[in-house]
Amino acid sequence: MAFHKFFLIQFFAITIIICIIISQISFAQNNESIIDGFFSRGGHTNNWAVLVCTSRFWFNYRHIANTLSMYRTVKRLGIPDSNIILMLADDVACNPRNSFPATVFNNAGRYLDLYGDNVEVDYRGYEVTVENFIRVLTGRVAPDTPRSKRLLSDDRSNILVYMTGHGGNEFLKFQDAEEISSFDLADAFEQMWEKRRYHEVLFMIDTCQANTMYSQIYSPNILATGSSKLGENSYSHHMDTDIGVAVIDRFTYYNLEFLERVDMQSKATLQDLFNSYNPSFIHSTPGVRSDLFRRPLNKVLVTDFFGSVQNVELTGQQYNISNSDIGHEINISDIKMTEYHSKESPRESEKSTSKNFHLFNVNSKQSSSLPQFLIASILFGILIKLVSSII
Amino acid sequence: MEENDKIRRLIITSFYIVILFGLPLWWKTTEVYRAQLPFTEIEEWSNWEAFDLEFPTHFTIYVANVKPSTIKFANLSSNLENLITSRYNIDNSKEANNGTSQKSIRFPVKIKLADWNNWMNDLQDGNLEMGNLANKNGQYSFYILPRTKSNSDTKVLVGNQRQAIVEINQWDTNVIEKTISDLIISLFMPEQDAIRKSIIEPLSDSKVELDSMRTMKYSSQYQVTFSLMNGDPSNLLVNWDIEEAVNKYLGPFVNQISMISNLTVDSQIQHYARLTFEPNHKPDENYFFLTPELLPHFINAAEWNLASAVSSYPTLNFILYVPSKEQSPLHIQDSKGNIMENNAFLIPRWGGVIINNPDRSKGTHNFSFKELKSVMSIFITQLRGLLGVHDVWIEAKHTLGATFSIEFVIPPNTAVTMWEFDNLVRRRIAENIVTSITTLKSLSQLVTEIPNMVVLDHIQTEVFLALDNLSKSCKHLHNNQYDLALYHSKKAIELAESAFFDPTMVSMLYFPDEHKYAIYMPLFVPISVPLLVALQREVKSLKKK
Repeated sequence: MAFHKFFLIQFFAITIIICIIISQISFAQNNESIIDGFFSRGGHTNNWAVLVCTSRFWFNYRHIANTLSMYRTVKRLGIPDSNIILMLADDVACNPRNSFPATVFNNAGRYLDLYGDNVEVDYRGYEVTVENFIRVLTGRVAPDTPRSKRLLSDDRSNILVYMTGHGGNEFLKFQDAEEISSFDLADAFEQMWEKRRYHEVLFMIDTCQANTMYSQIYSPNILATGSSKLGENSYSHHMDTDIGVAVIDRFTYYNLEFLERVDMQSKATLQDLFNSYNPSFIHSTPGVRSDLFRRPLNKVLVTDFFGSVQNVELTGQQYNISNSDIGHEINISDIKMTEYHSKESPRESEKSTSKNFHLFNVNSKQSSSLPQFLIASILFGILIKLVSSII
Repeated sequence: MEENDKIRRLIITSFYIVILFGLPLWWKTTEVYRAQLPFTEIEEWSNWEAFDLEFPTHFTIYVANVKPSTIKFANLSSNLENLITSRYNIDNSKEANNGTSQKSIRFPVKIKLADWNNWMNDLQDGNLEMGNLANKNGQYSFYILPRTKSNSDTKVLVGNQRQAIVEINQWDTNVIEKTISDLIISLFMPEQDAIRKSIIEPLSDSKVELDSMRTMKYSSQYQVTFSLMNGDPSNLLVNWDIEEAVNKYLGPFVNQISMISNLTVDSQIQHYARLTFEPNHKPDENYFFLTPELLPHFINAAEWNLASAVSSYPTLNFILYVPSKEQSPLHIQDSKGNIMENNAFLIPRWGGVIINNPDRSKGTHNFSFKELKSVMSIFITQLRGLLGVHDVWIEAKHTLGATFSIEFVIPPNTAVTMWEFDNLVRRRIAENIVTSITTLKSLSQLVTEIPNMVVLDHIQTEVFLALDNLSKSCKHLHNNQYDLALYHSKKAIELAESAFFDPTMVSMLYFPDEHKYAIYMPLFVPISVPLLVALQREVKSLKKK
């Protein structure tokens, strides 16, 4: 990783100086073609939510409010805290500039304290990095990571991934220090799909040029929506004069306006949600990408992603447990059968055969970044010195 | 002048030499370290070329020595074998015709006949050991004898071990053949279909199959949590003898199943566990009820603390819910409006819930060990479903039809008969093998697709070990050693998963070539200009000469 940090730093410095503009084609697709699914009912058994706010600093109050509003919504609709990964890059509630300490509001009316007594932030502050985000998605976390910081989803999980922060064409900035590109995101989703870590994903992003972020995704069963198309900014909705900064973004605000009317039993579909987007209110053009998604949107309930509606099965029969302590002899009508125990222990017979695998002999040299950096810099230093002395 | 030229040329060549030597050094030091993975081998496994998957089953048929003997023993076993194999193969050839590639999965059958001489005495004395009672997975015994009452159904008495007594209504070679082959096929066909399907189309996604949705994915360990939820402790305090109940009722099951997965059990009591909604009320009979539409919202995920941070293994929750006074008695109705006797429901891959309405007159209620028996028996039913235990004989009964009457002996205190357990073992072996192979396949695919991904040596080791365990597992399957096959398949899946989810396997950030040029250009362009100009000058001067 260090090797690439070196690259990254260099890259930023150089881009500022030489201003190389990399033109990239964006594939913002708005393919609304609906294939009639074979099943109208979702095949998921559990719901997960990954909610990420990538911005630091007080003036980005609204991003934290966005994320916490979503957190509150999914929790209200039934996703338990254990199935929510909440990543907040800053802690505005405890910021000294917050004139209402320990609270976060998403409305100038301050009706609802989002930072109530039941908020579980899983990744906070400097823990919110691109690396950690990708690790959470792909499941490649360190072995000592607690359960609450893991996305333990399976092939029957519907996952809501909500991101907000400052972004641009095909990237989203994390913490002012690094950024995630749409390619990284697409690769992460592909790695999840390869291991069947999801059944369906709803990817929702509220940032400038947000629709470019989902353009590279190529894995199936992903539905994506963003706040603004390429070249458009996403705007905040309104500010609170006492707090002194904007408290919520427009896209999230209008999403919430819809979601507030949804309850657990609601039959509202994602099509209804997407139809409710009004570009003149949002001040940008929200996009929906559904070409990777297999179900028709008017059959997908909002609660399939924002809530946790479990399938149930009534238990009719019951197993008749005999708690008689007969032990190893069981009387079968008039026949007596003696239970035999398997004498063979798998572990014992394992011993003899466990060592016959073959390993390739590979030299264990590893690319270390420091010597490489030193050699390179010394080499270039000598070169430049020689060149300058010649010229 | 000559001297100057010489020195200049020397200097220029030395620069080029440095660059020439520097280039491979730079190339070597900037490359991503990747241990060699056995891609071809993984490819072979995922195409099912590397091995044959066999699930051999042996049957010993003890035929009662009825006098006068009307049975032709000579060909019975080979006839049966042929009959069964042909019926298995019909389905195999169908798949081949459908165009799906023929995977080498086989279910060989071996049938041994034995004389059962003093069967009368054996039955009377209850002495059915015969010295060689089948005690391994994949080895079963059928004891066949003529039905005493004529003109009645064929009666099967299923034991908890790997044997069954079959009383055949017509003591005739053909009838015996037909009965036994029907029996064996309807017992093993569903399982084989499931295994074959899982191998031929692994990861067939998005299918709303109740069975696959209900059963948990394989894990070496599950965490089972029993929660007693009390709606309102202000007028009823509850307690339960859960420890004793778990030890007595669940313990044998946990022990038995531990060969496949370990279960760790814990329990908790939570008070003020409110529902998020008001249950329906039936005023004339004065009870409250929940319809199937309401049940999905039963779990109050926001307020009930069911998450456990003890481990990262999958959790199974079992809830005994005591409603508050205002909502008592609370019943569950099925879709037709009938009250469910068990008052219980199962949430696929999550757990089970039982609603209990205890006597409120005393203000406290302790669920005694005895009372918990019915509760635990429902929980065990649900647990069996969640862990994938199939009632093989009950499933077989549906296909066998009415001419068979199947009776069971008292279920074992392990809550799982050997028939069911063997079935589970075989399914889990198949599942583990398939999952390990697809995991390894995904790993090799990712490594090829994402060139920036570092592959360290220990990943390589794990992949090799996983492949080794896979082949061992298949070998043991072939030799009818299911225990060892299970052990190695567990090892294989563990290793494959740990290689796939290794923390070092996070690919580096996306770094397109444009970015690389952007980094190197400002360094190399200024350096290369004087070098190239000098070279050009030298070439020109050489040409002049």
